[in-house]
Amino acid sequence: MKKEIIIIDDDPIYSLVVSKMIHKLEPNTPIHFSTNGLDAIQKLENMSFFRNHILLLLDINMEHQDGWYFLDSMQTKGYQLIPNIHTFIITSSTDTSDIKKIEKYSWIKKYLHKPIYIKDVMEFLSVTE
Amino acid sequence: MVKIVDNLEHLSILIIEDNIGDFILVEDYLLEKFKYAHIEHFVDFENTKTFFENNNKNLDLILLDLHLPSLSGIELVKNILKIMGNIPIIILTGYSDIALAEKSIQLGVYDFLIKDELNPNLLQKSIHFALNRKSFISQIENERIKFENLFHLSPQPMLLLNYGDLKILDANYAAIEKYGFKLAEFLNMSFLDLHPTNEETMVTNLIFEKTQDENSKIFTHILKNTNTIHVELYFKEVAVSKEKNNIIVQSNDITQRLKHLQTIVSQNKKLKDIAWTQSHVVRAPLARILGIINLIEEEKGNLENLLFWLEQLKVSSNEMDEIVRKIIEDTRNFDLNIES
Repeated sequence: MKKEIIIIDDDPIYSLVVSKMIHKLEPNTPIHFSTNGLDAIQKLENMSFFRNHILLLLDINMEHQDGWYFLDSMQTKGYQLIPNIHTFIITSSTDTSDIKKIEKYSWIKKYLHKPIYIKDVMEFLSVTE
Repeated sequence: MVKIVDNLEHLSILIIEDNIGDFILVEDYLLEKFKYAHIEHFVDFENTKTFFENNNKNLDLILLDLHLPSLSGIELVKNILKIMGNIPIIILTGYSDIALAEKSIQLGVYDFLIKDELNPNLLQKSIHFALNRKSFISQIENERIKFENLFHLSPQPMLLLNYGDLKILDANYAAIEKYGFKLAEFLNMSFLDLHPTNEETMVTNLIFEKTQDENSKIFTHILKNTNTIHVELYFKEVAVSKEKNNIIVQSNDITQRLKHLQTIVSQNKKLKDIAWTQSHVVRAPLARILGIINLIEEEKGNLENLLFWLEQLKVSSNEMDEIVRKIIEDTRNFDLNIES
């Protein structure tokens, strides 16, 4: 099964850093970029998540529709139940209230604080194995 | 402590008696029992009065004949009591005046002695009783004053209310100073007059519900100058007699305390905001910087566009510098004045 990745982050430099790391490990995996929750959910809707694994690397604090918006939209659409969609949170926030809130979405695979390292990227990519 | 008169021998006694024979007899008896007694003697009311007006020497006791030349009987007793203050008076009288003497007792005379039955022992005993009683009375009076002072001199504003209609019966100095009303003005007011109309029901409920644990709540009080203060009220019912209860109210002005609390709350919010900024805004460029460094390390110098990444490091570092400066600024501008 093929995999595709969506990096949802409004910091383009950070997205670029992450994509470079992914590319180093898996040069052929397609990477999509999204800078807000609404755009990301629309991108996800148009992807064939029954045939491919979709890895979502989601930032929480974004202008306009943020990570919470995205997570809630997924739940409304029932996407959290689809086994091929794997959601990871990568946030710069270390605020305890944010962490508590993240833990309420029990279907999230993992959450990490920025910065992430190449070993973290390896872990994401191996989720489909 | 009761101080029973101990230097009985040195008593100072005034005898008001117009019959010289009777006076000499009484003086003899007195000196027999009180060897060093100092004795003053007057034969009429006028001289006695003058003596008192010009002389504030301490007298221990007065022996009074009920019949003086110009004034006698109840009128005499009343007039003497008026000028004597609280010096004990013992009446000397004949059999014919017993009814009159008994009436005098009700007016405040300590005792009466029948002249024909008088002897040194009886006189001594009556004097002892009178002096002891007087010291008990003044002790009780002192304690009453002490308790009144607890109310009047308390640094907390206190009011005494009539149970039922909540009319103000008394106000201590602290209350007069805090609220600006004179005592006479307070006495024309009901406790409810201090409250805005919308609080009246609440106050009445609180007073008459008598719930023990919840007898303190925050209310608004209106001062004479129409300013308002926030107060915490404590009510205590006190029994005045079998049928009658009063209520003592203590009012604590907590306006300042509430203001300080508000300051703390608003400062806490600012601190929280700063913490939030730390967590979200500061970490964003920092995470980016660390991410780029990771990337450079991973590529071990083989990274294309190294200059591009170095430029990005610079941009992010400057961004972080700006944010840190802003936090320092915010912390410095911690506004201690909550009015803003």
